[in-house]
Amino acid sequence: MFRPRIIPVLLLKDLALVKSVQFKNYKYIGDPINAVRIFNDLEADELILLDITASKRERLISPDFVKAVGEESRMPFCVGGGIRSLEEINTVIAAGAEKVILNTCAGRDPDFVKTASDEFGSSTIVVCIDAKRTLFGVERAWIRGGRRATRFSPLDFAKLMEDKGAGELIVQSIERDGTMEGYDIDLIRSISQAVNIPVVALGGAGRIQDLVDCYRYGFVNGLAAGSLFVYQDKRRGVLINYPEKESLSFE
Amino acid sequence: MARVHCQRKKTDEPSQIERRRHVVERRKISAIASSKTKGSAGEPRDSQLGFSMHIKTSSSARIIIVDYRTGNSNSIKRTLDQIGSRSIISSQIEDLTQADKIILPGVGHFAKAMANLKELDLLEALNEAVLIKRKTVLGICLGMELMAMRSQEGDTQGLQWLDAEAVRFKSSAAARHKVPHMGWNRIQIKKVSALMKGVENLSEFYFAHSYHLKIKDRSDLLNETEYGISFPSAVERNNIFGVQYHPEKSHRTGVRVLKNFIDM
Repeated sequence: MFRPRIIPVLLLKDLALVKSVQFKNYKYIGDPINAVRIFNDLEADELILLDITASKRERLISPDFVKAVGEESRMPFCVGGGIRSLEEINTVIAAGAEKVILNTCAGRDPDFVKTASDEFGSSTIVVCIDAKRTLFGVERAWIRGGRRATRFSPLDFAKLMEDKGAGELIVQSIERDGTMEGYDIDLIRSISQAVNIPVVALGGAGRIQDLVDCYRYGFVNGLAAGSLFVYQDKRRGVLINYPEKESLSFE
Repeated sequence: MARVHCQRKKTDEPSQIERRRHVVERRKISAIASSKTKGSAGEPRDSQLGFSMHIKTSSSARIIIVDYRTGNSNSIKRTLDQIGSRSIISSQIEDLTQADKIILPGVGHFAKAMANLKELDLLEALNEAVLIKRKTVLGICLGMELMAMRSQEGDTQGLQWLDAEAVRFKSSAAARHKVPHMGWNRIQIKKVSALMKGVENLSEFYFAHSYHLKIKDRSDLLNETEYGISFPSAVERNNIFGVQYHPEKSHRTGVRVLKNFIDM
């Protein structure tokens, strides 16, 4: 029986593990490699690692760091942060990542996704769609860590990325990030029902029930969350945690 | 005194996670204790023991992980290192000749993988090692698909070690079964095999693929998995083994499969 993946998201800022609220107000959580070890012990399904300052500073996530994660991780992990070229994808994959996550470069040059997927196979290429309303209330896909709006709606961008050969989409609501108030299920469902590739939901999960709801009503293949897996509860005391697989029912 | 205390607390701050780790460890210890009280028979399950102490191999077999410029050989190598196996990542014919066992990894495009094998002049050496010298070989993911007669991906001929074809999953946006098949799924063990020793039926493994094998000879079927349809998630024919999943990324159960392969 196939079941949705439950995926902790680790945000990195200068190689420290942090957590944001609405892409701002970063709080220091701890050492990322320690977190990877704990998720090994807890047998997490997969990990997402995102260097949130890489694109802003026009540099790649540290390959040495990815390698260190690769040495530790006994689960699949995907890596995003400032990836702009085939060589950089190769560097990240050779360091042990299963998949790379593209955002800024995919928004700037959608054809790059096609080039990358032809070279590395579509199951290696994940595109993260950061969705937010503009000041005029128009829903757009954003790049550069939520700093620049593209001309695409999240749905149009999702369809375009599928056409270009992306193997998976992460759909993230910037407004819900770190709020722990539940996924933007309408946004997520609008995309997952329009594409044939797997969709991973991100942004807003605060309880295990949020995961279950998003699977049931959002038609996703993966449920990713940051705060839920690094905080004990909404009071945000740091506690790396992961649900027991037996305790979850998605049916 | 108070000041000292305060300072200590400060230096402890970054290791907050480390402390949580102890919580995890404690939970594990209690898991061991409870399994004992339940009186579970036979060999202890890997998950209830420290990982490294249980899973070391005593085999001295030399393993070559064939490097044909595609896929992620490093994570397989790392897992083999942890098990204590002697392995190298290489594309040299000489290493292939000297190796006792062969792992054919693979992520990426079928046609490209075949082209690379040809370009590296490895086809003949692989055929000789597997078909004539009958060295045990394990194909992983694309490495398994390559063993087929041909693939729909790039409409290319394969290594032709198995009477099988690699075909693409059919997908539809309305269904839950998106393509690629990406994530954790169960396997049904279809025959007794040394590769499955200690692996429970319906164990979960990590998959990431858009194509799957269609086999002609059902006796080759080792594992079967459901994803909209039933497809062979592992095959075995004499010295030839293939797994569609990634044992190197499937936690302890996956490590078990790789150890079984080394111990064979």
